[in-house]
Amino acid sequence: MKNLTITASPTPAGPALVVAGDLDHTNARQLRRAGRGAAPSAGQVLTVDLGNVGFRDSSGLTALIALHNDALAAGADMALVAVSASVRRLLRLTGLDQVFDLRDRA
Amino acid sequence: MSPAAGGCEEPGTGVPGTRAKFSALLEDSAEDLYESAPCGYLSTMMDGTIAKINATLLGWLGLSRNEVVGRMRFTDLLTVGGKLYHETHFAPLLRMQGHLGGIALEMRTASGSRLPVLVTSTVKKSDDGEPLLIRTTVFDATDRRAYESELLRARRTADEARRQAEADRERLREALAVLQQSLLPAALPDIPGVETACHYHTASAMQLGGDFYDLFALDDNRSAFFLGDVCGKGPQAAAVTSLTRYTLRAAALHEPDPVANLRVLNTVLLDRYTGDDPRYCTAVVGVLERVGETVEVRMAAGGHPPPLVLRADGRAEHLPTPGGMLVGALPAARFVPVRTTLRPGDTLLLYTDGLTEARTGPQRELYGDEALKSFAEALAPAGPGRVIDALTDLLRSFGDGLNDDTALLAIGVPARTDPGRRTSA
Repeated sequence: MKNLTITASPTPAGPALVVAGDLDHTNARQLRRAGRGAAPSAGQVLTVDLGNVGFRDSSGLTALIALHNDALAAGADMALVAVSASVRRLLRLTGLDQVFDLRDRA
Repeated sequence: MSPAAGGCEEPGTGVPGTRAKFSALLEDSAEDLYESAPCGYLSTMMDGTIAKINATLLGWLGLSRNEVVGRMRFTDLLTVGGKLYHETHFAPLLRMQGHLGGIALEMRTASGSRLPVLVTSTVKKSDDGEPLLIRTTVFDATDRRAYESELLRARRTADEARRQAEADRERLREALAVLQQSLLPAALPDIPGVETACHYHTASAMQLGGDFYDLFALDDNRSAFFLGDVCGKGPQAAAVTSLTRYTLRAAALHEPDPVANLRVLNTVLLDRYTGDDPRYCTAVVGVLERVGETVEVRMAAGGHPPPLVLRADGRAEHLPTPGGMLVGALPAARFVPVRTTLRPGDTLLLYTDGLTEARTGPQRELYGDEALKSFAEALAPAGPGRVIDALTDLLRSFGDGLNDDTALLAIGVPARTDPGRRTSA
């Protein structure tokens, strides 16, 4: 189990989070908090880099849904960057690949 | 032994005026030190007869020198238990090693009370190695014994607390098992013309799982079923499971349209669990309708692994529902319908992802959809009872690679050669 690290930085398009490590029910709250802290404003896009993230249970998915809900409520949008094959499979199975904006690393 | 009594060094040497004071303090003779030392001394012949004993020990035992010297043996000073231990352990070891230290024994005083002591003995030998006598020091261990019994008491208290905690844990386990059962049907109902079987694997006895299934009659010809998996574990997940189960039951009775049923559940979950605490599930919902000797199945799925059909001719096929979304996560969720016909000998299998997400082999790889399909193909044709038995064995074979709850529900139409109907839970 790899420790979770989240780094936040502002970009012209909106706040960016780079997440690394394994997400599970013990640390998913960290991602929720980081998302609330990043607080994209209307018209911005919150990007979440998942290039080095493993999902250990459903709580990572729950955190992403909460971040997405928050972003939409603020009039902003959310994009997932560098999503691994295993997370993509999970997003496809749950139909979330149609909801989340999936992008390659810029 | 205290430094003053030992007299190996005189503290303050070289400081004028202090030397005289220490000399005065150290005037006690070696004889006085022997007699009134803070510990007991005794010397015995090799046969145990007491040759010499100091006043301190005589005082502790309430005996006079005349009663003891030349008349009693060391073991006569011990309690029965002490005697026994001396004979079986102490004396043989001392003979062998020539020295024995810090042995706990019990002495008996003249008044009959017990005196716990720590005994150290050394065998004095002649120049040519012949043992001459045994020198023994005796320390009063009353305080130490009190400390030890305090420790024992504390340990007993801790043991008792641990037993209580284990009993509490056991009660909690029982309560959780009862709650878990309340989230599942006690037994599947008999549905005319249909065979069913199910299995629930609980990953942890201390965690309420989030998988669920149900099957119930709608009218003479139709029944409804569902199977799903709520996100998370524990009491919160169980609350969502409960809400999900009753919502789906009510929705199916009201309108036997699987896609509409999932939309109702989506609305209910979104309404109950707001943005900050999303609670969702994956589910397959379906309606069975008997048409002659076949059964028409209309299903809808949201975010759930695809149902599998084992055909009477030995094939196995997935019934994919691509694009079906999690239920309760998004207001505009889409649910995808799929239908099939079960002919005699066909069996429909619904499962949660505990099965396909199990880890197998030394590389701990995902078991996966394709392996499950191959397993089903090898099994087909098979009725629900056989399918569930085989999958239960498969789950067991995963060992600790299976770390999630797993629900299985199989629905089949009896093969023509097997007119009997069978329901197992």
